[in-house]
Amino acid sequence: MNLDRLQVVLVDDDEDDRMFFKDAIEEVDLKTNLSLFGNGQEFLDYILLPGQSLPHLVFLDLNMPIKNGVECLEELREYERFKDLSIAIYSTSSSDEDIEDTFVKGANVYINKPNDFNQLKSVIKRVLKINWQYQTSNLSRENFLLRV
Amino acid sequence: MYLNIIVSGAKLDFDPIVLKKSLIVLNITSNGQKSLPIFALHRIMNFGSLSMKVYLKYDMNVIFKKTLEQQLDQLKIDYKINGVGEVEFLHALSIDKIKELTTLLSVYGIQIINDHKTEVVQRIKDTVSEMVLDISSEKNHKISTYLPEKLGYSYTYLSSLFSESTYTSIENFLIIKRIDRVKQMLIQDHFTLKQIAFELGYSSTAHLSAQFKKVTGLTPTSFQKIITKRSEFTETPKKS
Repeated sequence: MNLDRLQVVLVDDDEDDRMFFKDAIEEVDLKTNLSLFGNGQEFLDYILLPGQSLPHLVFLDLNMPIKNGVECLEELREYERFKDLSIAIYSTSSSDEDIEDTFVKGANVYINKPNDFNQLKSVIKRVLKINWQYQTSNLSRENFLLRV
Repeated sequence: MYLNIIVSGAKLDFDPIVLKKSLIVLNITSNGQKSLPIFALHRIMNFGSLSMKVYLKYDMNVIFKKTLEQQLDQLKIDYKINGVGEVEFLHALSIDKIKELTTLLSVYGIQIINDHKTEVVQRIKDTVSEMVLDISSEKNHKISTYLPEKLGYSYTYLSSLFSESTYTSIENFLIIKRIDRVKQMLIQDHFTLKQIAFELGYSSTAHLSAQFKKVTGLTPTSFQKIITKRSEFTETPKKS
């Protein structure tokens, strides 16, 4: 069993939100490596470089300039090699339409951005742990949906 | 001044501190035409006393492989390196030899993964999966008696070993696995919730729905709706 650091990506244009997330994930008692990106295009440019290793989980904000979360999600899902990449939508929106729309377009997890620090910590922990089960056990990935 | 030193592999056999600031622009590559022997570098660099910075480029995989080879050669072990992180010993090693190797490697932060653990965890997972598939066994056995019976270890031992290496507990894993089965029955087999609850031994449909919601955050109905829509709207990925 390989319990190396979990490679996590957060794509969010809001610097405060990025810092809030970074602080929270650092306090979660799981070993993680967090990479931060300011919008969908920045992340796509990075992940499409040849030979790039895939993160275990990508958190995508919905509302971003240049390339928003949904556009980024759709673009990622066009690639065979990202088929098994876990994507979590991390958004302030809690509208049922947004939730259903992103799941249909291939998101695995939908998270309402919590305002409370401890809540954010427990949400991150829960998502990382369940995602890990999907990556290490024989569970059907195409049925991996989680709403937090 | 600019000094670009590209070290490929771990062949850095001079002390960077020895390098002193100079006004000469040097380009040293390990295999390029402009390469200088190390002693020449020393001579050129040795006259100044100003501080300088050197940027090093390195490849972790090369360093890891080289380190591993050195240690294994030192113990005269016959081996084959099968990609990153896996070594095959061509002859079985004595326990003392393994201990010796473990000590040597620990200096470099390299650990030998305890194979017994990995194996037992895999066997637990396999047994849990079997239980979820074979309904009769789950109905008749509690997991805490079934696993020890099948695997020959106490449940306390099995659960602590499992939690240690999987980020979850056996009980939780069973629930996740069972919900995964529920999803399959909903999507592929087109079972009704009532049928599923009966088949998997839930006391009621309400209990099944509640557990489903707790694990996935969605009701079985909205899950079903999303997956159906997804298969209608999404195309198979075209780009490689």
